[in-house]
Amino acid sequence: MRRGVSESLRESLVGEMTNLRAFGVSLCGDRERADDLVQETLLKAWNHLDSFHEGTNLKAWLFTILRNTYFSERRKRRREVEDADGSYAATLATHPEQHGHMDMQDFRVALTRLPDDQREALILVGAAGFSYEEAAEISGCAVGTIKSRVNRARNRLADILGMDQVANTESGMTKSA
Amino acid sequence: MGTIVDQVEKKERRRKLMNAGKTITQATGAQGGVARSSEGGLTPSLQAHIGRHLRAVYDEVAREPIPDRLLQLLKDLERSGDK
Repeated sequence: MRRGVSESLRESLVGEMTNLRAFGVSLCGDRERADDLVQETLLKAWNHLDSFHEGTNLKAWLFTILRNTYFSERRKRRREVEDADGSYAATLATHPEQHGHMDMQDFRVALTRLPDDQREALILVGAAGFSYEEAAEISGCAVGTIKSRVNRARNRLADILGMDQVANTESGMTKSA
Repeated sequence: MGTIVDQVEKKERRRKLMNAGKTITQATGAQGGVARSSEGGLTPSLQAHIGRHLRAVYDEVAREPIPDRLLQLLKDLERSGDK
């Protein structure tokens, strides 16, 4: 039923896929699941391409679809599985012997321990390059809400990672993870 | 009259203000807890530290090639659109 997707739009879609994956993985912490999210996002986007106005922000539109998919699945999943978070964090926390990556690994785990909405806001603004206004539109909330989520996310990360001890990270960080 | 003097004074005042800001940051940073600025947020250097890690996590994935199954999906979608 769908035909005549313009070449430029198709290219833009492909171009945004690496970003979408990065968003998905940062959001859910799991490549396999993130790729499922991207796949579903692509399908939905494709089926609703006529509701997208060419020339407007394709990246923001795709990110919105992905986060909506993630959050609605998450709500479902929460009812079914209890400890999705805990078991996931545990698998991430393995391999502490990879010394050089310890710092990054700690950070990844800490990221998963943030509340969903805070993690989302932080990623959108701090990594994906959206303005507070764009992030608010993507998440469907007020700009002030995004700002406070980003602040709380940063504070929480600093607390989890014990960043007052950045100087003597070794022992401090390993224990807190 | 006195415009040059005014300017110099202004500059001096600004310099003092900036230094005062720095001292506050350094002082709170040295305290036992997590370093917070006077407004209760994190210090700029800590924010930057978190920002770097966050972008590293994100960019690492963004640099990866797109998995085959996603490329295949795009192809399939296009093919289904052709007919």
